[in-house]
Amino acid sequence: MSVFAHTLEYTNVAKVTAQWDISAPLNARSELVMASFQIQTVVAAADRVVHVSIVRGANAHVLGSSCFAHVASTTWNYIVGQHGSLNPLAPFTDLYIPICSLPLITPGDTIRFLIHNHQAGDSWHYRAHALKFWNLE
Amino acid sequence: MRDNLVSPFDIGNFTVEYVIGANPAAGALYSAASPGNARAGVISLSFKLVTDANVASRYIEVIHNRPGYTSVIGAAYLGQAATETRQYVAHQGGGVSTATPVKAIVLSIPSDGIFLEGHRLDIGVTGIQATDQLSDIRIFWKLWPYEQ
Repeated sequence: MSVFAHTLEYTNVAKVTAQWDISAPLNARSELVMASFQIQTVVAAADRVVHVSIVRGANAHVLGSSCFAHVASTTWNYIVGQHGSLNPLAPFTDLYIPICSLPLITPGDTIRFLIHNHQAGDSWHYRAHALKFWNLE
Repeated sequence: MRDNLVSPFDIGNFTVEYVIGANPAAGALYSAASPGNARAGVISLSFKLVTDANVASRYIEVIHNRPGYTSVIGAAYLGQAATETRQYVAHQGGGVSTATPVKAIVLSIPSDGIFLEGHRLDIGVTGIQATDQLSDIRIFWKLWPYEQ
């Protein structure tokens, strides 16, 4: 279990859904090191909030959450990481989501990025994430 | 759910335990026993509070509850008002924000290894009202088992 590796995946393909999921690596315990993405909201009025969760069976554990409402017709970049702090003042266009830093993700889990109050047409862009994982012996 | 993990970046071996907390009754607080036979710390805690229509500010505290005394190890910096649903996330790398509107709150909880057998992790809500509801309580414990 002392051997670990990193993966980094990224895509510029836009996604017009409430969430995007990453399946946990098989035969490994893994840790979300970072993620970054952009969210563009449509004109429909609603306060959107972004959650980063581990979904295990029927249960979701929220690792991190954006603290500010992402309103209509706005483009914000989000950074998910282990060592930053939250943005202190509005206005801003880049929002940090702190998460913890241990390998909590097990095979079968799903890492979920979710927009609460997603409105039809709200979209994800420039999605990247990095995992660190330890192979199970 | 507990599994063994040999960590290359920490002192000694530890295990991780995932706890799905039962919802307390409406208006009641939550308390979880520290896992037995180990020193423990809370890696990550997530939960939700839905407030009723009674006008009052509710303030969240994460409490290390030991026999005889308690200490607050994490606190929300902002009250939650009536008729709101708010997500709370507590872990060891949290931060504080001051802008509004706030839809979720991140708490910092320094807790590595401070939970011993018989201790409890409490979610306190100062100003809780009769039909406020805590829910979706999830805890990742980090455990250093006692040697047998």
